[in-house]
This record gives sequence, structure tokens and C-alpha cells, in this order.
Amino acid sequence: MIVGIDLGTTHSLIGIYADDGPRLFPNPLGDLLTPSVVGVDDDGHVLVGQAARDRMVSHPQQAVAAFKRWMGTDRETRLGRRTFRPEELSALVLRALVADAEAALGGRVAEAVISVPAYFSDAQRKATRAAGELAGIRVERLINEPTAAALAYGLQERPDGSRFLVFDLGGGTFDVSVLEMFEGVVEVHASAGDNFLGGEDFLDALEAACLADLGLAPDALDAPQRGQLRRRLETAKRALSSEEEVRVECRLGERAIDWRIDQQRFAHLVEPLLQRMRAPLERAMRDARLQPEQLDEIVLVGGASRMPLVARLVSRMFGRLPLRHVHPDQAIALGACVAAGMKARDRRLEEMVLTDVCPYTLGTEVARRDEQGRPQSGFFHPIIQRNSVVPTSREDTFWPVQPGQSGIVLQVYQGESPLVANNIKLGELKVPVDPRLPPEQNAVDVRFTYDVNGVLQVEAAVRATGKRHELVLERNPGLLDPRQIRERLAALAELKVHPRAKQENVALLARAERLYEEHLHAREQLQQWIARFRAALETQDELLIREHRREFGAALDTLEPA
Amino acid sequence: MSPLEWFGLGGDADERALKRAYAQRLRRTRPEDDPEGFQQLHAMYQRALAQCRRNPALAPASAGDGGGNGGPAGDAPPAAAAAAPPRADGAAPRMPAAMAGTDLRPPAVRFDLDGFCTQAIDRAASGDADALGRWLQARPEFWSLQLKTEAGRALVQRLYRERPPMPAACLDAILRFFDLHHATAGHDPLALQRLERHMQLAWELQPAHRAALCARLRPMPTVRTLDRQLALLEAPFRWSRVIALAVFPARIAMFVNTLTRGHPEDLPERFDRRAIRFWLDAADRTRITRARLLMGGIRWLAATLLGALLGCAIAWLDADPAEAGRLALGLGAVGFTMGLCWLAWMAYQPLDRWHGLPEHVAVRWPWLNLLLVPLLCGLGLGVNALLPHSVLALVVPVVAAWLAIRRCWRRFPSQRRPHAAIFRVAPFLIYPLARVLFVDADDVRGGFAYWQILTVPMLAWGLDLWFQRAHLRVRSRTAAQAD
Repeated sequence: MIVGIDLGTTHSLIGIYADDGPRLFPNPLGDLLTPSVVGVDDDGHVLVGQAARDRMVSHPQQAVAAFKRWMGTDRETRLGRRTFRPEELSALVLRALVADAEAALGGRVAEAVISVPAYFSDAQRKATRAAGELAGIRVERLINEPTAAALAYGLQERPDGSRFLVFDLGGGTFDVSVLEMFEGVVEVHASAGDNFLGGEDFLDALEAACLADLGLAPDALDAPQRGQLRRRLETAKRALSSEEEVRVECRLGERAIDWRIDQQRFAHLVEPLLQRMRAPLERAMRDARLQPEQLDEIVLVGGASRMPLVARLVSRMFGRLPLRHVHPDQAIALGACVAAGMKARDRRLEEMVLTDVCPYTLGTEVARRDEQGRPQSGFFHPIIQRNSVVPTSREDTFWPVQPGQSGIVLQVYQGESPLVANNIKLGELKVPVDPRLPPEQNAVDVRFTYDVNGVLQVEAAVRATGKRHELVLERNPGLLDPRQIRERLAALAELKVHPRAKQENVALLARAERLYEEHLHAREQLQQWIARFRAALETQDELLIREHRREFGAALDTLEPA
Repeated sequence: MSPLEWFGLGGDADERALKRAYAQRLRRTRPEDDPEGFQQLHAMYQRALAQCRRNPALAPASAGDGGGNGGPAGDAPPAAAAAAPPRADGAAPRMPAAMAGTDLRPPAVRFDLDGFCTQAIDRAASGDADALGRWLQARPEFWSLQLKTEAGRALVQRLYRERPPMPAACLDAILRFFDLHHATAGHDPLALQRLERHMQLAWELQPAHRAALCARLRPMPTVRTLDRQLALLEAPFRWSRVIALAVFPARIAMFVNTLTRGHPEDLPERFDRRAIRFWLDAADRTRITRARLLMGGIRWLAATLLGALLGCAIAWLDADPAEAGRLALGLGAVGFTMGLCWLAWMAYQPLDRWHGLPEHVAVRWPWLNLLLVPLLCGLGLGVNALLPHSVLALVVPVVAAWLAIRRCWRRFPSQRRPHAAIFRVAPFLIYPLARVLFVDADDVRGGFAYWQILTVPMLAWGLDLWFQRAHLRVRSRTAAQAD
């Protein structure tokens, strides 16, 4: 059984391609969306999801969110007694999701298709695969998020012979893909994106403006207060989608905050972010060699695309309103389920074929001769150009710069800048050549092969001798090697997790603690309720606990109308 | 076989039929199962698609289609797009009323590209890259992809043509806005760097930006000094000025180099190329140039004259004409000898460079380069036979030894060679040293035989050959290939 997983910056979902099409599984709290937040509680249990998210407000040091943005880096986060790499945090979320799926299916889940932003780099993709391994599942395939959304949309609408653009603005990443569907073929023409542009950035802009208006320095608030403020602003941001003006009122410690923002001001604040969205959109269109008139549809997905500002940007650029037939939060997960079904060779999907592209340019460093004939090094020479259909294989020929060179070093880079200094180095391959031959007879043929799983293979053949050299870029520097993964897997297995049955209680307590932080006037009341609920938990009487849980939940709802 | 035939279609097949055929084959050749087969299939599909679109009979049907990634990047945007009418069917009803004001279809009135370029260049000249970026972003016309591409191309062409003064940050903002700053945009990065340097220098040289330029040329004390230096460079070439400035060519050349970041060719047209060339040549220590000889000559003449004058003056004060004459002659002779030494030194430097070039660099007279040291040793033996114990007989092996050691040292593969400064003065020390060791010691210990002296250069030469054995070319073969 292969599951499809949308591992998002703010929310994650899991599902499967079932008999009646893609189906998503709820978490123990009954929601399809599990917040991508990891925390620890006071006795060292790991919390994932809503409980951890509530804990971010009550105990900001003991929960972490938005770690998807750190994937592919070495950044470590301290939680409780140990530190976690971003892969490990993702793995904990994946484990929670897989547990939901196993509970729903009643069997073991060992394989998954995980969606990643189309513009994720090589290192980020490998980190995602490592996260899967750490969660104890085999990642059968990584599917690009906009492609996944297109699969969901395609399956739902069956638009034959049409071209469309998927605009995916998630919590932390922005992706654009231009696709075409015909005769069951889903062909991606181009992808572009920005890995650091998402709903969180809109929230940051709002927070910066709020703090500036209140005359507060960004570090004037302590962590819990900031967490509270961000939560309020998040609500305000959502409200701005429908209301003309929103008022933010809360107490942060001694300060009473009363702040107003209207849509116009918000639009002005986020104008730079909207401008940043233009470049990937234009690039994708240019790479697909399409004009806006030639698109049949524009599909918006991702939670942040709910903002009317975004729809306005799209209409302005393409001269038409975007489409909203698919669920912005679920489309990617549903698409990942379809991809899982395709991977599992589901009978109903065998007509479907997906061709995707490599979203970035791959090449090597070369030296060029300037007008005086002096060699200048540091230039990037593309071999596989971005948005080539994968799998792809391209060859190019290189010569030594100077006579008498005893070898050439092929530095493999990924990126778009004409200078390698601004690109990401993936590895290098040393190719010895005969120094006695003049450079023009010392040609080296270099072949880059990029497969559907995103593994790049570099082959070099010295023409004079026919000798071959090879480099397979499976692991990047800074990422975990298989031995480290085994070690970390063992370490993660030792972490304590609340049993599934108790998770609802844990989440309820975390919520109550958050409300305790947020509502000064109701603190005594909350303390009483929490004590009573804890007492009920002590009894271990399932019936009593269920009764108390219902009452406790209802009581909390009165403080916080949904 | 034409690409369409490969798909089992006739030459008049339309895109729909092609796509159907492609889809059928694709199901048998999935990219994840058969990578090679898929690559071949996809390449064929791209070619067939291009053939379909070229087909004049089908042109109207395929207008509005431009998909595909097969072609080379960086070429012109699809020309077909200009002819593609806005889709009349679905697009119009989707256009909401509120958006009518921002209709993006090609405007009826042609956009004034030239005017836009002029405005952009004017704004860039102010030097505020952020303001320029905002101004570009706020222009409503550029929401149209096609227009934006066109305008970007026109603007960059104009920049290449006119090279207006513009700071690098503004050029960067322009390239960024038009998405031309990436590797596949089709610009030669070196040409772009040259353009950037050129425009930046022109901008810095504007009178309004003197203070900033002064700050960049750190040791330059004041704007006034800078102005004076620039005036000197801008003035046309004149001999009177050359003679007046004969003492400082190196300073002028250094100023030119720091000003242009090592690219004097970037200087605007108003600078006299001949003058700049002259100053750079005069300061170039690696070559013997006319400018350098001239400058040296002038200096030398001045030194000799000064010496003679000084002698005359002293003698005049002493009121002894005979003594005065001798003193003037003596000082003049010192000046003359200095000049000779300078000439010898100037001749020695290129010889040393040529002789110490790495083995793989194509040198002039390769055989002479290889065998210079043995030849010199032979010459020394000859001289010694004719004039035993003469100065000349000693100078030859000393020079040979020195050249051989230098060659060995310079060509040594390690990067950690001792600093080269010692080698600049050492040639002048080696003769007295050798004389003390070999000739004067002769009376004390019986001395060395002449051939023993020659072992030093030959040893160093042999050592060098040993180090370079991996690189030694078969010189005759290279020569034959050159023919």
C-alpha cells in the first residue's frame, strides 16, 4: 500500500488512492490537516500537530514550526533535552501521519509518495527522502507540489487537450507550473518558484507593520507574547480576505494592544511580496514558450492563495480570473494520492502518464577568455537547462585552458546565475589528461544524466585515451549518510510518544494551556478546569474521561468561539 | 524518415493526431521504466510538433500553440505569439468588469520603446537602484509578458550601443527586473561584465560623483588631487609634458589601473589613448618598450647632466678649473655607469622571464630556451681559453649559473617558493662573491679549476630538466604540427 503525503510548511496531510479515488485520513482529533509543528511536553513526550501548535504559544521554547524551510541545511533545533535536524522534525511529522493512515487502514504502511515544492533544490529533495527513511517508510517518489495539484485537478475535471498554470502559494513556498493535459498524458512544460515566499512572509509583513505602529522594537516582546501576537495577526490576515477592516485587540503582558488595519494598507504592505511573485510566473511562461492568451485555465492552490490579493495579481497578469474548483488545502495531498496510485500501478490510472521537468539548470564551471585572451574563471556553463523534460541526458565537450594542464576539474553546480559563486555546488570530478598534448587535442566529453528520481550522474570521457570517469551525486555534503541515518533512526525510536488514544486528551490540555496564556481574565477558571480534567485522567476510567473531555472541550469553546 | 512518419502519421497530420499517437507510445515507454526510450520518443515528439507547426496548411489551427521545451534556451521569444489572436472563445467571459482597466492584450497604440529606454537610462543615471526597481515594477505596461520581453531586449541593446553612465547596481536592477541576469538568458557574461565596468566608470567619472570616486581610490587624499590627476590623463599627448613627468611614470600608471580596476580600455573616449598607452608602457617592467627606453634615457641624461653641473659648481666655488673638470667628468662618469647598469638590468629582466617560462608555454626559440645554459658554459670555456682569469671569463659562468638557478626555481612545481625579492638584487651580489670564492682564493688554496665552476650552472640546469621531465615536449613534433 503506497500512501500519498503532502508535507507542508504549515500543514501536512496523508491519504491513499482508494477504490473510490483519492481519500485523505483524519488525525486523532478528526482533522484532515495536521499542523507541521513538533513539540515536547513537560515529561519529554513528543507532540506533533495541533497540541504542539498550541504549545508554541504557551511554551515557545518547546515547540518548533516551519522547519520545512530549513530542509537541506545543517540547522539544529533544541527541543527539551536533545537537538533535532530538520529531517528529524519532518520525520516526526511523517510518523504521526503514517500512524493516522495505519489506524485508518488497519495495516502497516511502508511506502509513500511525498510532495515537495517544484523549486526544491537537490539538497532539499534529498533531505526529504532522508526524512522519509527516518520515519521508517520508503519514499517511492517525490512529486512536485504543483504537479500533484494538477493531477488532482485533472482527475476531477478531466480537461482534455488543455494547457493550464498551477499557482501554488503555500505557507512557506511559492511554485508555478505550466502543464498540458491530453489523452491521459500530464506533461509539465515548465516550473519556477521561490522557496522563501509564502503565507508566513505575509504574516511577517503584517507583524512588522503592527510592531512599528505600536512603537515596539522586534525584540521588545518575549517569545510567548510574540507567539500570541502572531496568532492574532494570523486570524486578522484571514479575516482581511473578506472584511474591509480588521481590528486586533489583545493583552500582551502589561500592554493592551488595539490595532487596526484595512485591506488597502495590507495591500500596500505586501506589495513587495506580490512583486516577487511576478518573476517566477513570467519565467515559467517564458520557459514554456506560452503567452497568457494561450493558457486555458489558471488553478490556484495552497492555503495562502485564498487571499484576494493573490487572485487580483493573477488576474492582472493573465487578464482573467483564476479557477477555484479544487480545494486549496487538499489539492496537493489528493494529487500525491493519485501519484501514489500511479506508482502502485492502480488499474484505473494506467492510462495516465506523467512527464515532469528538472526545474533548475545544472552545469559546470568554465573559464572564458576575455578580449585580451586571458582566461577568466568562475563562469557557469549550463549543460542541462532548466525545465528540460526528465529523464534527460546531455553532452558537452570541454578543453583544458592552458597547455600542459595535467587534468581538469569538473565542478558541478546547480543554479541560474552566470557566475558559479552564486550557484550551489553539488560536487566535483577530477579528470586527468595528458599534459604533453596541446589543449585542442585534449578534449573531454562530459555527459550529465538526470533521472526521474532527481539523481544526477556525471560521466566524463577523455577523447584521446577513451578513459571514462564517473560521479554519481547521491549525497550532498552536509546531508546525512546511510550510517548516520541508521544512528538517528535508532535515536528517534527511543523518543516517547503518547499513545494514539490519549492524543486527544493531550491536545485538549495543550489548548487549555494556550488559552491560559491568552486570556488573562479567565485564568482562574481555566486552572480549575485543567485540574478537574487532570483528575479525571488520573482515574483512567475511559467512560469518565470521555464525558469530561466533552465538557472540557465545550467549556474551552466558550472562551474561543470557532 | 520525417518525425511525423516516425509516429506513423502522414505529412499532413495535425497536432491532435500527433498528440494521440505520442500518448499511445508514451504508455508503452514510460519515463520511469525506460529512460532511453522515453528520451528518444520525446525528442521525436518535439521535432514532429515543430514539423506540424511549420506546415503551412495547418498554421491557423496551430496558432496559439507554443508548448515544448526542446529548443535551445535564450533564443527569441516565440514569434508566433505576435500573430496569435487572443482566444475569443473562453477568455473574454472570464474577464471581470473590474479588470477591464488592466487589459493586457497588446495595446492598440504601440508602446514607445525608445522613449521608455531614454527614461530608464535617465533614471539609472541618478544612481538609486531601489527607486529604479520600484519605478520599473510600477509600470503597468510590463504586466504584459510579451512587451516586457521586448522592452528588456531593446533596453539592453541600447545599453550595449550607447554605454551611458550608470552604476552597476542600477544595471543589476534592470537585468533583474527583465529576468536577464541568469545563465540561460543568452548574454555573454564577459561582455556583460565589460559593459557593467564601462558604464560604472563613466558614471564615477561624472563631476557630480567625484567624492564617491575619491572614497574608492582610498589613498587619494582630496578631490582636488583627483581632479588634477584626471586633468592630466584627459589632456592630449604632448612631449613637453612627458619630459616634465619623466620621473613618475609608475605613479600615473598606478592611478590609471586603480581608476579603471585594471581595465584601462574602459576609459571614455575623451581620454587620449596615446597618452594612456604611453604611460602604461613606460611603467611596464615586463617588456622593453620605446616609452620605457625614452623615459630611462631622459632620466639618465638628467642624472648625468646634474652630476656634471654639480661638479662644475663645486669647482667654480673652489676656483680650480683643472680640479673642476676632473670632478665634472667623474660625476658624469658615475651617471653614465649607472645608465649602463640600468640598461643591462633592463635587458636581463626579459631574458630571465623568457628563460624561466613554464615548460608548457609556447616560447620563442624553444631550442635556444632549452640549451641556453650549456651554450653559455661552452662560451665560458672558450673565453677562459683565450683570456684566462679575465673578468669576462668569470662573468659568463656566473650569469649562466644565475639563469639556471632562476629557471629551476621559477619552474619548480611547488606553490611554496621563497619570495622573489631576493632575486632582484642577487645578480649584483653574485659577481663579487664569485670573485672572492674562486679568483682571490686562488692565491690561498690553489683555487678551483674553471670546469669546476661550470658544474654549478650545469647542475642547476640538469635538476630543472629532471623536475620538468613529465612536461618536456617532443619539440620537433610540436614544431611539425605548427606547420
